[in-house]
Amino acid sequence: MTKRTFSRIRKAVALLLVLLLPLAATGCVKRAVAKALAEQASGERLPGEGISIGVVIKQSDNAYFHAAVEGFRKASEELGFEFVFDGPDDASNDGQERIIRNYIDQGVDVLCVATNDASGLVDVCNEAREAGILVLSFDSKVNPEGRDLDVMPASFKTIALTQLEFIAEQMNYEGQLALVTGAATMPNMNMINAYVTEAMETDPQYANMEFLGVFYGDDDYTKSYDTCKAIIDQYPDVKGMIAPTTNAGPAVAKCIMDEGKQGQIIMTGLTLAHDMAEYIHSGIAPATFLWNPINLGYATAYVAVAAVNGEIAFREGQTVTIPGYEGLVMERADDGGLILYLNEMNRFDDSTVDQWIDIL
Amino acid sequence: MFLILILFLAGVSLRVPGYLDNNSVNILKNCSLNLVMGAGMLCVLLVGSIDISVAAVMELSAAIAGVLMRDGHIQSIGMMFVVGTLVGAVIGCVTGLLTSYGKVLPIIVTLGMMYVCRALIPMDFILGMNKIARVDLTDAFKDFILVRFLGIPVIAYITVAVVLLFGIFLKYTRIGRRFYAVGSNPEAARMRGVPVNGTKILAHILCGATAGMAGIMRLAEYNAIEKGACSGMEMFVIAACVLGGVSVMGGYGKMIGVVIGAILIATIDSAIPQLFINATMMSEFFKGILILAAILLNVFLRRWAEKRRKMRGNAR
Amino acid sequence: MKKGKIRDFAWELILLALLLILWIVFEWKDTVRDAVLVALGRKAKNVFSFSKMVSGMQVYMLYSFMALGMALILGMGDIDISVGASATLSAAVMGVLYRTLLSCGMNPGLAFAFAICACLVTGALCGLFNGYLITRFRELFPMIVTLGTMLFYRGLCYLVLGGNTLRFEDDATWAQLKALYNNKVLIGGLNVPTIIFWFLGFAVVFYVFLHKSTAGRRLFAIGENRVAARYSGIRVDRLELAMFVVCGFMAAVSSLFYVGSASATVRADAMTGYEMYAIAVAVLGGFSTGGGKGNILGVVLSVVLFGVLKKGLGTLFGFPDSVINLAVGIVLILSSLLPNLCEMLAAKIRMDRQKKSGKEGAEND
Repeated sequence: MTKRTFSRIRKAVALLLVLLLPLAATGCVKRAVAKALAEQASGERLPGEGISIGVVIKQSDNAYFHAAVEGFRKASEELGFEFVFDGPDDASNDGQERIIRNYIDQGVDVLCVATNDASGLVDVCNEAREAGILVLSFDSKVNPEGRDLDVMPASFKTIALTQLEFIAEQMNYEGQLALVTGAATMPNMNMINAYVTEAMETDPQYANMEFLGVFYGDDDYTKSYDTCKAIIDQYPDVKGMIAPTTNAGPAVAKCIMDEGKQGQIIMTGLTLAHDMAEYIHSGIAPATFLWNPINLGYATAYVAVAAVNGEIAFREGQTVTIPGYEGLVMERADDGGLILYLNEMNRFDDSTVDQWIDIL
Repeated sequence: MFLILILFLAGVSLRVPGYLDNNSVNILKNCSLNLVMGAGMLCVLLVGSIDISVAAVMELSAAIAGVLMRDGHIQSIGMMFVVGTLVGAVIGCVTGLLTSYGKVLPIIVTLGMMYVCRALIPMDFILGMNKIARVDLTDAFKDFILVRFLGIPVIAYITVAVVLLFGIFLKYTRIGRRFYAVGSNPEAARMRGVPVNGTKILAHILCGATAGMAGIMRLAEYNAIEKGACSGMEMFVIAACVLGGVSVMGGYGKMIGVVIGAILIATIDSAIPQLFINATMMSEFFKGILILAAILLNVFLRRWAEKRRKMRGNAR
Repeated sequence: MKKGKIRDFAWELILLALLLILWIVFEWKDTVRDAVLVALGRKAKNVFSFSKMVSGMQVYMLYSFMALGMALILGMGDIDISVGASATLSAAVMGVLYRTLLSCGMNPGLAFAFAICACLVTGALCGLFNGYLITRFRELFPMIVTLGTMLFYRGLCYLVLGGNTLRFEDDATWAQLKALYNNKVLIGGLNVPTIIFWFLGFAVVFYVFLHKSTAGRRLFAIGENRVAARYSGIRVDRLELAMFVVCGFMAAVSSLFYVGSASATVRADAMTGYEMYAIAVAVLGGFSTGGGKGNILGVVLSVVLFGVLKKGLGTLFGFPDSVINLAVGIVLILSSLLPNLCEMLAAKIRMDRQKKSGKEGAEND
């Protein structure tokens, strides 16, 4: 075979491919359209139909946020909206920005963001708002200049003081108490730390307790474990610990167990149920707390759909109706932005934790 | 090298009284992962290659084994280790094939592998969007870490066994000595009939296998695994090897060196939270500076020793 | 002559072809999606288009500056994995210095200028330190040295910033950094982010330096064979040191843009893992850690390719962020495996042909 025939064949094949490509494309389009039409014909009209929501979570494999996404899914079955969700691999700011930009290009109607850094996403959120997209933050706020509304499970004061009151009661209001928190860059953790520290310093009912301080576990299991170990080594008399992050909770409990301090040190925290069930049953953690992330996602989705349909406006004093919640009112938050508290804390103790294992 | 370790220990003991009593077991536990992976990394470095995907391999193998245990396919501890090691070995084999027959540079292959492993973990057929937590594991597996024999955790015995095995393998068997030959001069090794590519693949398989094993050990220790849980470990493993005087160019390095390097890093790791208990920021800083200083000090010491040897040679 | 030229750019052509294929696939998928939407009575979204790609490009440009610096280092057969950490350190120094100068009562504009200079100088100093250690301690691999300095710089960041986020959102002067990142120019109906021009400007400088100057040729000579380069009179250590300084400088440049992208905030753990992105981009661009080859043109193409790949997979196919990394990993391995395989195949064919012709020659005799 000569070289020339070879090249001729090649040209012919290339030409054929170029001719076939559009044909194949139109065929594909027709099939996809037919399928979508068939799907649409079968369903009835729901309030959320045609609305698409982009949910941006802190990190792609965070179980807590997947529970929240579960809430969105539940709401989408009831309301009929479409939603997509994603989170960066590394819990980084630029990863979230990348995802938000993708969602803007996809033309979502609402963005629901749980941010890693309150101020880091302001610019890109504003870009989204300029494109006519509503920006709601949930769980971790976006700063007021970049958001329309912040949906929060409970105020930080409630969260911090619920834990503190509980552990103090368990400790008979005496002894040393330590706080193993997340990373110093997390705004929500810093708020909780501040409320606990303030209460320990000023509230007379805690006068007999010694607060050892705030210790950082960087919201990482290994690091929290090591930090807890260091606390136990350094302060052998420590009696109570608070771990207000889902990663630090099980790490601290495990460390107490491994160090053989069971019965001597008790802890509480904001944790998922299945992480902690064992320690709750064994008494290391008499009870732990959390709001219900499923409900949080569910409520956020309802607010989003209502806002797109023009049923509610973003202003102070606006009442919001969500199935299961009565008389929620938008408030002006400390940072000057709008906020909506669900104000609901979920307590896991020896008798209730098992109901939650499969959910959280 | 040993000197640095002792100096450091002495310094810390002065600052924190009772440090050694409390922490010798803890150090042993902390360095076990580094040591097991260090043994595999030593093989890879000896043949003149490098593997920066070990941490990702660790996560992947622990995730796969964990999922199998969660779904009830595995009950025994032994099977967990077998599965983990196998997963690691398979990935190591792929890496080895790519670097030896594919002639791709090891840094690039393992960098790519790192991405691939980390991305595989959240796939639906492995972890999905969940993570392995305590409830997913059997009680026997969870308690296994607490079992102590003669006051020392079982995991330390496993580590010692792995280290001894690798040490003997590298020093006294013919295949083990091939690693040195391939690393110091591949051409000469080929001439003398050593299967260079085969040796390289074997080294990568061993490295992957130890990484997989370390993954299971970590799962046993922390009872939890998720993507990115071990990120950064690869750097500490390599640092342990370098601290132990292993040449990154290949052909030179001893198991005992890696042991000392790993212990030193574990000591730094456990000492720093004790020294600066309230300041993670300080601890990050000192970790970096100490490891850098130790690496440089090591070079200085070796240069100094060489100079003296030369001077002695001249005098003679 | 012409054939040689084409062969010189073979890798760039492959990249271009890959880009084209990706583009066609994404465009096609987009058309199908839009047709479905229109049929359902909604408006077409047209997710993937040239103008959208260009105007959203800045997210994928953050590490491109590092990749340029990295290309030089890789060309010499070295590697620098501390760039991410040194970039963060530069940003941290910039932020802290600016705040201190302001509190000393300095005019914001002047303080800002100082801070930016300090940022660039810090980056260069980080590079200098790397280069010094590497040229001084030859028995350590660049990989190991920069591994150590990475931990060290990252630690310094934590020391400087103390774990808090440094915020400058409401500072008008500092907000110029945001503009640096976010600004777009309207050219022929396209919203082109200015960051693209900065990148292209740097790329041209690097191209001229690497491919048109003596220093560039020397650099590749070092990558080919360091010993031979030294014997032929190249001051290897000096050039290497200089290149590491340039690499550190580029890291600082990208940190400027990064600060802009993060709404003018600085955090100690920002930009972790960027060194890997930079290496990935440079390697896909045709550079290799073995040194001695590569073309800046390839780096530019691979920046675009990565952007298109991530954007397309993310928006059109709905892949989560983490799975995109799978694609990145596979592309990375394949991009260095395929040329090797081709080369091996070519060598084998050549060998066979030689053998055959040798045999024929023998028979003819």
